[in-house]
Parts: sequence; structure tokens; C-alpha cells
Amino acid sequence: MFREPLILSLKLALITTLVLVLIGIPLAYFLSRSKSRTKPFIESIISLPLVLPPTVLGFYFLMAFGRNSGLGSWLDDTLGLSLVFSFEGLVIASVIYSLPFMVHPVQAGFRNLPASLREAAQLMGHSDWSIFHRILVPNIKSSLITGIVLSFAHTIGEFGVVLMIGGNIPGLTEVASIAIYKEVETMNYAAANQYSLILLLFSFAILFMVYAFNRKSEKVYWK
Amino acid sequence: MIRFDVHKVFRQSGVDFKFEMKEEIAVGSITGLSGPSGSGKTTLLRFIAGLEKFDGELMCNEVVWSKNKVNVVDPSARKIGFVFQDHALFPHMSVIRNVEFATKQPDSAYIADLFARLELDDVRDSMPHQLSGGQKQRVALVRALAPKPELLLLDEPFASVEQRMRSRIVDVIRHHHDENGSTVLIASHHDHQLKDLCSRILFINNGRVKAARNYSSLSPDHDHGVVEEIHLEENTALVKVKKGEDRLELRLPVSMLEGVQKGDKLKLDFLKDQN
Repeated sequence: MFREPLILSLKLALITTLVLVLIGIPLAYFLSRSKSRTKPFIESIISLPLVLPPTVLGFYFLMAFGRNSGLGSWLDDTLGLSLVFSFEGLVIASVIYSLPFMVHPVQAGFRNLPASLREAAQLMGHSDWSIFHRILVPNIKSSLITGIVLSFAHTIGEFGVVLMIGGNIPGLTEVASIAIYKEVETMNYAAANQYSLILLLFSFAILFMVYAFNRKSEKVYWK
Repeated sequence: MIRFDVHKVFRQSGVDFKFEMKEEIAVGSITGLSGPSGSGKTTLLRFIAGLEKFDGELMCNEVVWSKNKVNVVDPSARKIGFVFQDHALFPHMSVIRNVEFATKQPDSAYIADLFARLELDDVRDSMPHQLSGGQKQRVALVRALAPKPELLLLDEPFASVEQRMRSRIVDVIRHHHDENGSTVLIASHHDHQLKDLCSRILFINNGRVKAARNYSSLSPDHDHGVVEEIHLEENTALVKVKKGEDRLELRLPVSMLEGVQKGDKLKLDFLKDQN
């Protein structure tokens, strides 16, 4: 019973991070190279979760995917998919909520690479895909790991969005941060303390690893 | 013939920089680009490589490569070897992987020969961050030469290289040119190396070719004259030179004529003012 919220938090963070890697890297690459007039608009949309109260995001998510909305009822009727108060809904909301934590560092990584690396590979006759995965991505390793870890840690620590969209259903949507809130509500401080301590140590450990890795890779690559 | 008539306005720190050039470069020649920093040498190389868009037209052997901001021939299809000013070595690949990545079918013997000529055997398996500036420069040159390009574009290939190694680089470039008949363009501050290597040097300033100078190193009899008379004056000398059917009178500083006697051959360079 005690482990269930922690495992659910880890599962949510892993799936969210995986989805963010798949969509965040191409998106960050596009933004790092784009000179389009729509770029500030896209960047603003991606960065909104940084400044928006999580409850606002959760509210609009409920409005968009709730049973009473057109989209929500269509998903439910045709695909049997109910995003509100479900784990799938938590994943989608988490992806949106953590998107800037993946896109920003990766975009900065791409932007800081000398253009000559891509140009040199281009003149050698390599395709865009080959340049992307053989030259560019390996050289933003530290930015990528920062993005992955921040997204993962941010998802682990989510509260507002999760509560709005997932509620508090044990075994389905009750993640560790919600469990802490519940334990405090019921005055069970010992359990709340256990959850909190685990999250605190876990968060510190992964941040420490990121900073240690980045320090090492800075020394190696850009000496 | 590589022909270009290109122009572009760059805005740098609020000031317009107008690049405007119309030139022809003989295919199979070695041409130098000389000029101060920011004069437009690198920009011209980037235009030719198709790495930068411009207005106007660039042709190679009557085939349009680029026209009005459009690369008609993709840069990857131009068979170009490019040495970038920052070397552009891939940081995550060893020296040998960098070189092999430049060509689909690496010629191991040829690459080994280049490594030996440029004294890079000891750093084959090193990572770029472990190399000195001069070593990076030489690795970048080997990488550009590995696919035996038809057009070799070198941006400051002698920078951060010691004098002895500059001569090696000159030899390697000349050897590559002689073996493959490729066209070579070199942007450099090192006029001495350019004069050693190039049949023609374009003097560039403020985005324009201010002058072109032809060198006779590739056709030894073409611009030589025979000294017929030397009349010493105070600090100068009047030298009468026979060049083919022509006779020239040159007034030169005495210091330039040390050891020169009647009957000696003088190598003559002419500066053609294009303005």
C-alpha cells in the first residue's frame, strides 16, 4: 500500500519522459534552427506551464477532455478512452506540463553547437537524418541528460495538475505527491514524512548526478 | 571556370556591409584570397560552398550552382572539401573517425600518407579536445582531402601552425592539386604561403575584389624577364628587362637587386588594378 503511490509516480515519470524525448528533441531542433515568425508563438505555448498555475492547465484539460466536452465524449464513444481521472490522462497532462523542461535545455544545446559541425557534415554528403543523429544529438548529450532528468524530476513532483485531472484514486492516479497531501490531511505525519523524505533524497540524487555529469562533459568536449 | 556575380548586404552591429563580387576562377587553379579580417574572404568561400544564400549567380563549368538565394546544385553534390576556420572537428569522434566520416569509401593508403606527411600518426586515436591548435588544423585538412574533392576551399589553413609545418601544408595542398587536378581556393592572412602556392591572388577588402595578382609559379617561363642593363642611382636602380619581345624599364630599390647581374632571370609579378 505504501509502495503503490511511489511506483505509480515512477511509472508516470518514466512514460512521460519517454514521450518527451520522442517529441521534445525534434521540437527543440526545429526551434533552434527556425527563423519563422511563428517561432515566438510556439515558444510561448511551450513555456506556458512555467508561469501558469497548474490548476489553470488542469482546469482547461478538464474542460477539453471531460465527458461533457465534444472531444471528451467523442474519445469515450469512439475509442473508449476517458482521459479524465485516468492514468492516460495523467500522462498527457504531464507531457504538456513538463514540455518546457525538456525543450529548453535541448534547444539551448542545439543552439550552442557551432554551425560549422552541421555544415561540415552536409558538405561530406550526409543526409539531414544522419547529421541529426550521428553529429548533433551526440554533441548535446549533457543538455539532453539535463532535459531528461528535469522532466523526470518535475513529473515526480507534480501535484496541482495531477490532482485536477487524476483526482486521488488509489492504484490508478494516486501518485506520491498526492499521497503526501492525503496523509497530512488525515494527520498521519509519519507516513507523509516517509514519502517526503524519499522524494527529497531521490530528487537531490538525480540533480547531483546531472550536475556532476555536466561538469565532466564540459571538461571533455569544449576544452 | 567558376564564375560568380554575387551580392549581399549584411547588417552587422547596425552597420550595413555590402558584399559585391564578380570574378572568374579557372578550374584546376590554385587561387588565394588575401585581405584583412572581415573583408569577405570567408563569405566568398561560404557562397561557393552553398552554405550561405546570396543574390546573383554562381556557375561552375557552365552549370548553375546557385542563383538568387537558391542552391540549384545541393552543397553535398559539389564535391567540396572545406577546412573551416574553427576546424569543425566532430568532438565525439576520434581523429581517424573524423577523417573516415568524411568519405563513404575511405582510401586507407591515401589517408595514411596524409597522416604521415602532416605528422599526425601519433594522434590517430586521440579525441579533438586532446589536440593542439596546429594539430586540429592539420586534421581538418586531412579530413577535407580524404574524399579527394574536386574543389578544395581552405579558410585560414595556416593559422595556429608553426612555420615548418606551414611548408608541409603547402606541399600537401600542392601534391593534392597536382594529383587530382582539383581547384583550390585559399583564404589566408599568410601572404608568403599564398605566393608560394597560388597562381593568382585576389586582394579583397570591404566585400570587393580590389586587385588581382597573377603569379608565374605554375608557368615558369611566362612572367620571367632577362636583365639587360642595370643603372645604379642613389637609392634606386633603373633596370632594363627583356620580357619576350617587350622591353621594360623598372625603377627598383637597390636593396631588391642584391646579387642581381646582367643576364639574370627576374621573376615578374604584375598587379592588375580592377577599379
